[in-house]
Amino acid sequence: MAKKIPVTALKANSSLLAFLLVTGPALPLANAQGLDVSRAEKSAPAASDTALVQGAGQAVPPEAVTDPQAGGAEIQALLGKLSNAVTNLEYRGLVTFEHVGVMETLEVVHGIRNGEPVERIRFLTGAPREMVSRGHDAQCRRDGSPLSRAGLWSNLGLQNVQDNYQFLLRGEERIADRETVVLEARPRDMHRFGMVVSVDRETGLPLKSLLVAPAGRVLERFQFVELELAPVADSELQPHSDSARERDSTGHCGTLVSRWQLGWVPNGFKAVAARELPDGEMQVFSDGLNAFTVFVQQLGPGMNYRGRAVRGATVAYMDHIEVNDEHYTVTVVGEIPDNTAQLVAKSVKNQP
Amino acid sequence: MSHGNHQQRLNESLSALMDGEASELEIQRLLREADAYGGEQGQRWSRYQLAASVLRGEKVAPVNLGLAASISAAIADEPPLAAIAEPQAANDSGAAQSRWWRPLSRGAVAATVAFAAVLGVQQMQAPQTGGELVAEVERPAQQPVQSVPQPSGFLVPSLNTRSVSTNPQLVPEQRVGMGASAQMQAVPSPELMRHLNRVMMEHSEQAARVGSQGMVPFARAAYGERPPE
Repeated sequence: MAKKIPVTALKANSSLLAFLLVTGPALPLANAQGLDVSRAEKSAPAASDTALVQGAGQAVPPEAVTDPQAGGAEIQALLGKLSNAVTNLEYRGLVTFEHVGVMETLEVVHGIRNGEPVERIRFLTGAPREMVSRGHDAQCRRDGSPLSRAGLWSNLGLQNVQDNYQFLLRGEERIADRETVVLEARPRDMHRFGMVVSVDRETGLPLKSLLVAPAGRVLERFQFVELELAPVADSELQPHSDSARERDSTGHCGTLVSRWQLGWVPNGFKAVAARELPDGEMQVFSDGLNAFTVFVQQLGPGMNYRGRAVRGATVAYMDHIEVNDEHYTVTVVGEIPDNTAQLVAKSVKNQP
Repeated sequence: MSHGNHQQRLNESLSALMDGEASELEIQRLLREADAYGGEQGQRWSRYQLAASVLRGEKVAPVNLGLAASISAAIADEPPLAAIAEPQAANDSGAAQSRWWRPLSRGAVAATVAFAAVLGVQQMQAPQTGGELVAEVERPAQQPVQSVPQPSGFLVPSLNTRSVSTNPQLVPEQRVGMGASAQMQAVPSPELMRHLNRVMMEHSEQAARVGSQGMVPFARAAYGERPPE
């Protein structure tokens, strides 16, 4: 059976070529051959036709920022406000979360206890899923990582983020009955996705965020339907269902020195956390907006899958390496382009 | 208008569609004809696609156009489950059980064959990802979500609200020199799915700590989670 396939394929191949020669102008050869060379450009003409351009990585349209100085200052202020709101506000709300063409609704509660954020998130559609996460920021902050949540929008963090993304003001819109300012983070290279965030004008809370792939494809949308800005009671931070998973991860931010080294990471991504796992270790990299995690684990030779898996905006690229006759599974997971994940996975090597 | 002329025009429309140059009118005509005559245009279209794949240097699996038809026929031929089960279950429980399972397992085999065939073809058509950084546009499972209104310039195809599996979708890397049969064996094991679910969850939780995306990573982390069984 297996031997038959190449033969038939070959037959098909030659008869098709003959067929093509007969049809001639109906299917221009030059066109078909061109596809291989310029796969990236394939979609470009169609996109420009329909005025759906302005995707990631394109030149800034002049009307987007009329006065760079004024725009810059406004953006800085907005980013500062956003960082503050994400860390310090108490709120609850209903949210829609969409990806892969699927929409789910969920309930979110964000409180502050002992100066640390406590979050509860519960899906209201599909299988019951709930998660409570508390106290996860302390260690990172003490480590003084410029990319920790609190330090992210400090001057140093902001500089790093602006090296990798260009920020643009894209107007205003109303979300969850509140006025927002639309901010776009446009990647400066092909190794990261862009983001469009609608920031609440009054508080700075991000009320809608889109993850945007090149050519303006929206991969994921998280959007408030209803927002209540008020102190959160303790009971609201308790699990509401039996299936809830509680995650108390204080101190997990990572001091582990990894035995693995990456030969290549995209510009601007820095190691921000490393953690030991029962069967290996994980290392988190962030450029300030997006993040990916590199897992190197000993899962046995059975886990020799090589390829990628996609769920929503998240891609996992799996590979494996042999070091000193030991089999290691490498998995790069993140909201990054497929090829970037693959390149990172291929660059994993043992620390000399 | 002779039949031959008509046929030729249809073929030209089909070619135009293949090149992405078909007008609205031509597309309408093709769809109408596809309804009326079905098979012939469909097969021609498949051949064109196959031809383009070959020219692009992609590996091509021989596509058996009769497969789908024969599977539907096989399934249609199966007697309904209830029809067999009810009269039997009343008196002879032992025989009823075996009768019960027979059509079920036959249907399951048909479904498995269809699944394997589709999986194989899809893998064959997966773009080769050399070292080139061009393929974001072809990311298969990351379909854009619907969002209106948008800031101008964002592409937003339609939203599908039916519930789907929260499991990651696999896209194995194409391996040079491997036969089609080897490719088809890449059916995800439960172990692999568990691993992928786990790393995606761990990643999202860590990302929530270092990123600035607010609660979005938590939504991702909780998304694929399953209640304890």
